[in-house]
Amino acid sequence: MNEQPPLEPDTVTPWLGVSRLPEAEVGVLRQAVFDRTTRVLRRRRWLRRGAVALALCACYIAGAATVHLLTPPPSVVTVVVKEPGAPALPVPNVAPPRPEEEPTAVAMEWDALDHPEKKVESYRRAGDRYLTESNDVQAAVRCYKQMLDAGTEQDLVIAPDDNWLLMALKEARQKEKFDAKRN
Amino acid sequence: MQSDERVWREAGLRSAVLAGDERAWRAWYDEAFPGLFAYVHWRCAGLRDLTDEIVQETWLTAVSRMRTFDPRQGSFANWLRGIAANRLRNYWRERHHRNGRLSDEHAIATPADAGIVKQEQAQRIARALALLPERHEAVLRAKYLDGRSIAEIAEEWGDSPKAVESLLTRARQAFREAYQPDE
Repeated sequence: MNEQPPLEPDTVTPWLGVSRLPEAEVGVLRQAVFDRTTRVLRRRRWLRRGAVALALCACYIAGAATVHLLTPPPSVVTVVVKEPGAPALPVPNVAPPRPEEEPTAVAMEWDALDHPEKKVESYRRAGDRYLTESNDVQAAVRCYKQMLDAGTEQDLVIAPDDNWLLMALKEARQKEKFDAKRN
Repeated sequence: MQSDERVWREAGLRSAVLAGDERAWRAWYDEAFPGLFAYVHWRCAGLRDLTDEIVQETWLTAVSRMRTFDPRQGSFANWLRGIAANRLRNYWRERHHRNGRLSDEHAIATPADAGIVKQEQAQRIARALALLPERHEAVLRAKYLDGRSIAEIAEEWGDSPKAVESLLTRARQAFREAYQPDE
């Protein structure tokens, strides 16, 4: 037989029975608590929006930085003026543009051939440029020789603005002439 | 089916509140506030100041921890009651550490001072409820706060009326012991 203890007199009822408060008394608390919880919700919403805006800004900055880093610097554009008939020569990109539009050494050589009256001057300038700009001694010697061949006795005199190569060639020419006269 | 409907509805409200929807929060709050207030009021044995404090703390905790609420594990009302019960337990624990035995507080109160005696009694009841095991607290709540009969509780819990009656007897006894620890 399943015996349950007899239900004792309910002595706790007076303690545990509770009278409900009228709604009007609770209304103020209800509204106050609602206002506080709503403020928490709003703050959280603004924080979330701020986080999204921050993330978008970070993405934009990262994208802009990537584009900036991956874009090569603007290359130097060199305009090469080719004389008719002049051989095409590769021009290094790094050469800075000349302040004056001077023809190249090769063009000057061709100019000396085309205009015999300016031969001495053109060969001289071409030789100077070969020597100073591209350090091409062989081409400079060729031009200076042509200049001295076409020039007069006066052109063999060493001048203050002559470079070392031209001075040496002039000296050699003078010596050759002196030796030829003596023999 | 009814439970599925509740889960679906509360999951929707939870998502809306997490997204910052104030209208959803208003609706949910208005629906749950009376039940929570009645529960806390009962647990505080009618102590109004303590009730207000616990209700407020419970709602603030709920709104800030909304993400942790899972409708599949229980209803929103139960979740709120759990938070409130924890708050009350912490309250009594802190008070006990701070002031020592509760009964010492008004030891010098004279029987003539009915207000103080009533206050002391309410505090004893509230503290005794906070000390009870969850199952005992639940059966006392169903009986005294919700006003259900033993047959109704048994049907809801899926137990026999005898088992519920036995549990209620043990819960009352535990409550009496917690209420009068000296006796």
